[in-house]
Amino acid sequence: MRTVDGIDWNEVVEDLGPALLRYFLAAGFARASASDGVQETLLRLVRLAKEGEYDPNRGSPRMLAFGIARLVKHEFYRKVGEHDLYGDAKEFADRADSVSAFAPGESAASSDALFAERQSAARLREVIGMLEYPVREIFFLLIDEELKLEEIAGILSIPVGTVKSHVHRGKEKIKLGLKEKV
Amino acid sequence: MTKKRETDPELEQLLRAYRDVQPTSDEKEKWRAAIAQEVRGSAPIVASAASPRSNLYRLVVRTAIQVGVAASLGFVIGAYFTERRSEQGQAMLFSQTEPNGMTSRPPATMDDERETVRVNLDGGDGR
Repeated sequence: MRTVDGIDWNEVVEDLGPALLRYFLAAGFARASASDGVQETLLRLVRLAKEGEYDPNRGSPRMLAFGIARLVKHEFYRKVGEHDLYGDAKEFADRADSVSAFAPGESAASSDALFAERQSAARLREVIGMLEYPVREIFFLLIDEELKLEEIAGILSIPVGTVKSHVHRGKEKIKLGLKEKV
Repeated sequence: MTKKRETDPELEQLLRAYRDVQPTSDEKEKWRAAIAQEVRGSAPIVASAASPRSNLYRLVVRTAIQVGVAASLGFVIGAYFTERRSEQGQAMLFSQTEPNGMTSRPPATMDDERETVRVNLDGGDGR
């Protein structure tokens, strides 16, 4: 693949693609929409690079990519309404159970352990979906193991200390939420 | 490749359920193809997958709305200033205030002049 300003886009796809996909899935997107969200994010990254506004020295490409992904997510929410995703807990749970984490054609019940793990993923998605902003957003971003707390603070334009305290309180709420679900 | 952040075992345990999600090779291939097309020059925009024709219609409608709004605004502003100028003209004609606070008589018109002349011809004092 040709490069723009020496960026190897194959590497970007390998490195950021899975993380962005998890981000969109966690945010309540169905699998196909999440995949489209990743594509749109990557395309905007390419456009920024073409316009010379993608400077890896100004911040990590990861941080920039997640900043764009947030924008793409908000545009999607504006289209379909965030309320439709999080407003009805039961509907969200059903949606989470039935779609997101599984690739098309995968069988969710291929093994009991796998099925149980995916059920817990669906429950976790539901609980995180119930958190208020910006705690919910912080947890969506935390799913990517390589995004540092400083970068998350940068993406959300809030102090690192605030991120840390939200993480601490959010953990407790998630644990409580999961217990109630069980 | 960036380093992983400082780990919080409890947090990692909570989020572990998300981390086994991987894109399929088809998805990756689709992203790569879209990027390659974008790098070459143009690419489909997923978020607004509108056809060129519907984009043209949208442009025409948007332009028509803008022209309509601008014309209406111009008409309203024009009407306002015309009205205002007319009111100012009338005020100048009929509302000249004398230094003693009395409103002056409107200036004599041609008809008034003619009437005065006729009265004088009829007998000077009008009788």
